[in-house]
This record gives sequence, structure tokens and C-alpha cells, in this order.
Amino acid sequence: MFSAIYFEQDVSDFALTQKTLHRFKDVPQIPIDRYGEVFNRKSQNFRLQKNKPALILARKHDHWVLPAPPGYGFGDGESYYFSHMLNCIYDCRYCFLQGMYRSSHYVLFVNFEDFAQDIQLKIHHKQSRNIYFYSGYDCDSLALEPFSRFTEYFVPLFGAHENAWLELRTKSTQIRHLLEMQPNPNCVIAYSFTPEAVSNALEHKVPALEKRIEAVKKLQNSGWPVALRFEPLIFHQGYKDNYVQLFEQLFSQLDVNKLHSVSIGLFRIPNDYFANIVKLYPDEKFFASDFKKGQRLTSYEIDIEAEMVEFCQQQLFQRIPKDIYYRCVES
Amino acid sequence: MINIVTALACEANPIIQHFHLRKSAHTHGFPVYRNEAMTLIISGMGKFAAASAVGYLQALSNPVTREPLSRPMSQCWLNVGIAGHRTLELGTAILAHRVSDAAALQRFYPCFTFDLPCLTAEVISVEQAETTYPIDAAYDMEAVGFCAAASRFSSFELIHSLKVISDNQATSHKHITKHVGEDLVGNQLLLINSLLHEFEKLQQTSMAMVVPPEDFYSLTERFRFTVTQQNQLKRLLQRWSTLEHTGVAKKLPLQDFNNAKQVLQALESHLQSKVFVC
Repeated sequence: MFSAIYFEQDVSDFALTQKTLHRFKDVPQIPIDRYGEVFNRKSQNFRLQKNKPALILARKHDHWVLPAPPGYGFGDGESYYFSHMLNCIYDCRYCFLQGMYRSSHYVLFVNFEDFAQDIQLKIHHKQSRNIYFYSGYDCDSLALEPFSRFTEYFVPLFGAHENAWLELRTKSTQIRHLLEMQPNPNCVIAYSFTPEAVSNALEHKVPALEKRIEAVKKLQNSGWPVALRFEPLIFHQGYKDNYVQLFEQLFSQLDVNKLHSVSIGLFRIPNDYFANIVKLYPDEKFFASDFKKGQRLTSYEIDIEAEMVEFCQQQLFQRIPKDIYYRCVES
Repeated sequence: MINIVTALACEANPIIQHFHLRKSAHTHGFPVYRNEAMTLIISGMGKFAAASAVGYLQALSNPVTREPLSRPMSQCWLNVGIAGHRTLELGTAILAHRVSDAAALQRFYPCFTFDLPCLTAEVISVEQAETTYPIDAAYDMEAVGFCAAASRFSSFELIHSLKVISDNQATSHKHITKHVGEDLVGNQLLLINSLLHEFEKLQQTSMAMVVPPEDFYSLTERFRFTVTQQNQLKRLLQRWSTLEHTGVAKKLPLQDFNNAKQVLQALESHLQSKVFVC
């Protein structure tokens, strides 16, 4: 699964480190001082590393929980995001991570308790006002679940606070631990979807669409709040037919009345990240089509965005109540 | 191109013979051997010699070209040699997963992006042959210089150091002769071959990121592009070749264009409304 496991000597005694090293005994295990020695150094190539990334077990020393970008998420109160992991086991060609890092190794921060403490502190400060936490911004929330047992640690934090919500953003079908737990009404499992043709072309290593729908069904049936995220909307030939087909596939199999929320979001990527990604994949068809380079962000042309949003909203409103819909307007 | 760096002739000889490398007559300072796919240089002992050899080989294989966009980051570098280790058996081959000097002031982490064909170990480069093997690491004299220099030219996925254990606590380095060195490396030719095969695959991917697209040279010869325009042209041609699968001349009236600006405008206009097809 990993080409090597690097571990900060500082976290070698952590239970998660020990368990991980034990589980992957046959993989080279290399002690390091700080993850920055290995991760995101000069003379690294994201695309080449993606052939077989390494796992880095590290401690995050600060900034465990950060304010979410304005317009991100479903919350009507203060929003934060946190990343217990950097980089994703999937390889989605539209993902900003490819342009942000020179390295595609996975960094797993094993000091969960520091993240938890920061979350609890922020909840405490908010008292009775709503507060939202998002996981899955710099990684897939559930991807390493079989051994990180991330949900087992973090989901219970949200049981005791009525006004605090957690969204776990994912494309993973690793839901066994969630199914073994008592559903938590304040933890939303949010699945990202693109039409099947897009997924096959751009979302490499992501579980097949039907398998993900199956996972969503299981979670829904066992009582977990589930959300659907159509982010980013991908403009492509035949997009109308393909999005309609996707909506049909999903809403014919899921219980709409039990959905927590449904959202759409646009393709937006900082210009320098976009340039880095194009250097990695100059022959990628997706990037060869027309994009607009704005002052800070690369995106589709405004009229294309408007057309897609209008069409998808219209289609969604034929299938879901408006009050569970929101549009992610992250800029 | 795959570049192999060895310190000693006895480490190089089995590789030279196996891959039918021929000595290059036009080199100075270091013996250099090549065939069409690879170049081998014998650096001499020590980290400075290894670093110098890497620099020399890089300059030989990437002379300043007419192509200003050249980013020769796609060359592979393999350091092959013998090393001591406290416990590993003589003849064991290891790939370095960490390379440092004795004071650990310089540390490098070669990145494995393929299934490992052998054990891995830390390699520590020392000034003189190590006789006490203080920690569980392979001790050599070149790897750190090799990595320091090679990482200036290529990324760490393309830089590796393969060491064959020649001495350990039971068998002193004093037993090593030219023939012993040849045998130790010669017995690992299959492994070297499989590594080179992996390198070739990596190199192909790497080349895809840097090779200028079709038509780039013909257009830059025909029209005068500034450096900025060359960058624009390169990207437009990449998009073109991805979407059109045919040369520019077949779809654009190049004979009607008087300057580079017109070429860029025509390419942009042609690609403007292209939609992603899954």
C-alpha cells in the first residue's frame, strides 16, 4: 500500500504509530526528525510519487483547527476545518492538492488529542451558538480509516454538543467503523459525486460510483445523516445528460427525505496551483479545454458556470426540497 | 538517459560488460562509458569525487541547447557500489532509503515509486572506511555526494543508491580485492537490470512532463518568439496535440502568418471553445 513509512521519532510511542508500524511490517520504516525533511521538499515530483506514495506519521504542532474559507459548507454559524492528514489516496485530476504540494506522500498527524482539544475549545467558546467543523479539505476523511480509526476518535466529540456539527467529506467506501458506531445526528457524512463518465476519466483510484452509492445507502439505512456534494461541477460534452443520469442514479436509490443536505460548487483553483498541475499533466484532456484565468483563480467562464449552476439546480429541485440545498460559494 | 555512477573500476566492470558499454574517447577527468540508453562514470572514491562526477556527467549529457525551455529533470541517476554493514551478510544488496554524511548534516531521502526489488537501509557516507559500524546502516564514501549533486538536476524519485555489502563485523574491509568487488556487483546484475527497467518507466512519465510538443521547434524556427511567447506557444501546442491529434500545419494557414503574435492568436482562437470530452 505504501512505498515506505516515515515516522517522526517524536511520535514513535503513540499508539497509532505503533499500530501502523506493526500493521505494515514489510514496508521500509524510516525514522525522521520532522516530516518536512521528506514532505514537500525541493526536487520532488508529485506525479512520479503518486505511483506509490509513502506514509508519513507526524505530529502537528499548531493550527490544528482553522477558519473555513468564507462561503464554505452548510453552516449558518462559525465554520472551521481541520486536516488530520495531508494529501489524498485518490488521484482526482481536478484536485488542488496536486498543485499545492510537490509531494504526494500522505502525512498522517497522529496527535489526534491536540486536534480534539482545539475543537472542544472552540465549541466551548461558542457556548450555545452554532459551530461547524469540516474534515476532508486536504485529504479524504475516511480513506485511511481501516487503521487510522479517525472516526472512532472524532465522531464521539460531537455527541455531547447540540450546537456543534462535524462534516466528514469523502469519496471512500471505508464505512465499517461508522456502521459499527451509534449514528450521531451532529455528524454528517458528505459524499462527493461527479457523473460516472467524469469520474472514470478524472477520479483515478476512487471507488466505482455504484459502490459509493451503496455505501451512502448503508449509512443512510443505519441512521447516519448523509449529504451529497456535487463539487466541483465539471463542464464537459454532454454534461446535461450526464448530470441528469447521476441525479437519477442517486435519488432513485437514496431516501431523499433523510438527506441532510445537497450542494453544488464550482471548479476554482488558484492560478499558481493550476499552472503547477498543468506542468505535471500537460497532456491531460481536462486541462486542454478552455479555462479562464482570473486575477487569483482559474475557473470556467462565467457564462458556462451560470449555465451549469442553473441547469443542475433546476434538475435538483425536481428531486429534492429546496431547504436542504445550498450552493458552496467558496472563493 | 540513465546515468550510473560508481566509485571504482571494479564496481563498474560487470556493468560495463553486461550492458556492452563503450568507453567514450572524448571525455576528460573521469572515465565514461556509454551505450544508447545509459552512461556510466567512474568517479573515484569520496563524496567530492562522486559529486564532481555527477556534475560532469550532467554537463556532458545536457549541453546548453537552443531550447530555452529545457528542464532536464528527467534523467535517472543510479549510484552502484560496495558498502560495509554491521550485521548484513556479505553480498546483500540494499537500496538507500536515507543517505547522510557522518555528522548527519546533510540528509537525503530517495523516493521509491516502484515495488522494491531488495532490502532498503540507511546509507552513511564516511571519509574513511568504517570499521566499527556504530549503527545499523550501510557505510560507504560516496552516496551523500552523489545525492547532493544529482538532486540539483533530477527529482528524488529518479535518484537511487544501490549498495552491495562487502564487509561487516565478521569480515573486515581489508579482504576486498578488485575481484571481490567485481563479484559482489556482478552478482547483482539481475537486480540492477530490474531497477533500470523501473527507471525507464519513470523516465517515460518524466519526459512526458518536459518534452516540448510537436511543432514547437518548427514554429520557433519559422517565426521569432520572445521567451514569454515561447512559453505561451508551448502550452498552446500541448493543448493542441491533446485535443487535435494532428499537426498545426494541417489546420492553420501558417503561410498566411507574418509573425509569432499571429500564430499565437490563431492557436488561441482555435482552442478557445474546446470542451472537455470524457
